[in-house]
Amino acid sequence: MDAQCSPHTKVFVQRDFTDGISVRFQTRYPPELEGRIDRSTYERTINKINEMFAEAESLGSKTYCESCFACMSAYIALTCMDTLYEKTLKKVRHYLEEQNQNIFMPRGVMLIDPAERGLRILEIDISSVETPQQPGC
Amino acid sequence: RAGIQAKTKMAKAVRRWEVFPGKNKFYCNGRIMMARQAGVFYLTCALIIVTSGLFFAFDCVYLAQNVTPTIPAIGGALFIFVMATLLRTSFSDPGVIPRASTDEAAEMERQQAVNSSPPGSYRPPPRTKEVVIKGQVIKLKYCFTCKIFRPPRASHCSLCDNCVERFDHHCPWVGNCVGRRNYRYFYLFILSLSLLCIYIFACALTNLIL
Repeated sequence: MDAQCSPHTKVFVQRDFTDGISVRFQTRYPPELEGRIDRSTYERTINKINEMFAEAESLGSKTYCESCFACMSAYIALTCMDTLYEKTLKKVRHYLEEQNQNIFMPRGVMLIDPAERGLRILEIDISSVETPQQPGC
Repeated sequence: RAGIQAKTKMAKAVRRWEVFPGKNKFYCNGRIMMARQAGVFYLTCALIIVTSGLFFAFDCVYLAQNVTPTIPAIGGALFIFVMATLLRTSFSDPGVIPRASTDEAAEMERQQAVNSSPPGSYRPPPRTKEVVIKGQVIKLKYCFTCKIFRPPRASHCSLCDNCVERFDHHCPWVGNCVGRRNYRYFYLFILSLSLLCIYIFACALTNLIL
């Protein structure tokens, strides 16, 4: 990779469309994380995120009740409460913050919340400052 | 999301709507998001409010006394529903996809250069990416303005200069695009407006007959 001389390497994890257009990210381990984050930790994080989105997009009685109630109130109730999907987006953000804080940032890796990128990609920021043997940068 | 804060290294934190690259206009500290030309929206509001106002002022007064007072009640509820859904449609984000960061765009350019044949021509071919969705091969188109591969059913609105998820159309009457995130409100607006029209017509007719 010609990104050896830049201070950051970025990996873009694309959406996994094999099961339809629901929000799911590919769990394939990026080779750039070799030596920093082990495979199981990474896969666990991605799977947890995929699980949270799957739960948000599931159709249950809670979603029906929420939608009907919001509709009856001419959607004025939505100014006061968050929908299940919005709550899930917040959950994903907190989870990623916590994971970044505890696991990824101490190793020079940062996961960017996919909501910041329109749920298209999950961006991984890898800082190269821990590899001092790179010449002339 | 229009109101998400992006902290820069400088002292002042910049809100995303303040540096929004599209042609949308923002009001109320980023809570309201509309298209650039919103004149027709005010016309829509005026038409609905004036017609309903006349209905309440004249027909309702007569019909409430002579038929039943629930007539203005139902009319009022319908009117509130119409206005609420209209405002939700006009003021909310239709599902704008944020543009790619410069890093992401550079990475895609690099991948494109690697994948295409050795440098014989300098004109880059129209870019598509194929993905397999539940066994079917779908081509994702590349948006040159937003520098992203559009998800399926997303489209670029030239009036607002944004890619919008599940883009339906840009509605000048509502002063905004209609896409995934405000489709429900738009549909209910159209439905309730039709009901309101029929209701007002029926009541006016009743008033004339009686």
